[in-house]
Amino acid sequence: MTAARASAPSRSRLARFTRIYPLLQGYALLPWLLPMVALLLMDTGVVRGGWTLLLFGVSLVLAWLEQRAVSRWYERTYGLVRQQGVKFGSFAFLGMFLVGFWLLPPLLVRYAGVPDGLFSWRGVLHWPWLWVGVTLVGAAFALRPHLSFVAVFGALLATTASLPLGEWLGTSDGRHLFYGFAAGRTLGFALILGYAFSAHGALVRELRVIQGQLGAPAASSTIPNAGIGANEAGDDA
Amino acid sequence: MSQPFQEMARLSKLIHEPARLAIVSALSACQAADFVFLRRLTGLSKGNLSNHLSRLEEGGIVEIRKEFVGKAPRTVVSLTEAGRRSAMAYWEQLERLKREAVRWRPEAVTTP
Repeated sequence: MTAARASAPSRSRLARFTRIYPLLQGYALLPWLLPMVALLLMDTGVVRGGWTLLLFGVSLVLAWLEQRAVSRWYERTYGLVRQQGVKFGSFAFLGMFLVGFWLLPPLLVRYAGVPDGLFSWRGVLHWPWLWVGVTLVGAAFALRPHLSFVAVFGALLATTASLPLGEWLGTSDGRHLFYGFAAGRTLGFALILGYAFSAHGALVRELRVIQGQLGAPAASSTIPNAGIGANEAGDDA
Repeated sequence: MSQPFQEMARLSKLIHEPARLAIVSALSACQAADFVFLRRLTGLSKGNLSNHLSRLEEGGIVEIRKEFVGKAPRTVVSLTEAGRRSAMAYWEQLERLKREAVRWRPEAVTTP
């Protein structure tokens, strides 16, 4: 058999890929640009008054519906994996984010003597994006080596959020640059777009590597008549 | 025959084949996966994958179910309990074999 000619991919590589396959469906995140656009329209005053809530609600519903459609496309094109129960890991990152966002600042102020101005909405640092960056680096470490973009983006985010950019660049009240809506929205857009394309790229690349290691069979070794899965989507090409 | 090679001969032939080993490794990390995913993962043709899955099903390693999404059929494959145990036994055996192979030294040939 052709597959026997190549070295087999490691068990851990196959298991890891199967486990994080849903996270590599990057294009499924693209519809969430819609609420971001809605927020941008609200920020810039294009949409005002009662329409803002309606616009934001509609964009959330549309994004959810489109995400389902993209997920179905992934199922048809790359297949379906049902995970074993709900993994603790997915909640661990959400928990880590929430703890850092709400619990850590008061604790640091009270017990470590950190000035509370650092965590205020007029701070010289930007605590929310700093903590998002730290969480992203943690997530990327757990998913290594597939989402290097997330690690780089998270590290850059944490670094830039912890520098007093407002003071350095001379904003009027010394607030960190990220408190401005334009910077916040730009970071959101960059994160969604970057994650979507890098995760999908990692999916395609990893499949190619695994197939290569298995020595994807040449046409001559194929058995044309498929019993199991004879009517499944996709061609043999 | 020396110890590591005797052990090697006892490895499950059903799981040891690279494509089937890839299928079992992937299935061990999830509850179930469909035919399309396994085909994408292994790069096998429909016929070859079908053949490997049939062998694994006959050996009691996997369970194959047909589902319908609307009118479209979907073949879902999962490891059976026996399959999970066989896979674990295979990997433990392989690890043991690797350790023994590292320690193994050819026996001195004694001439009469």
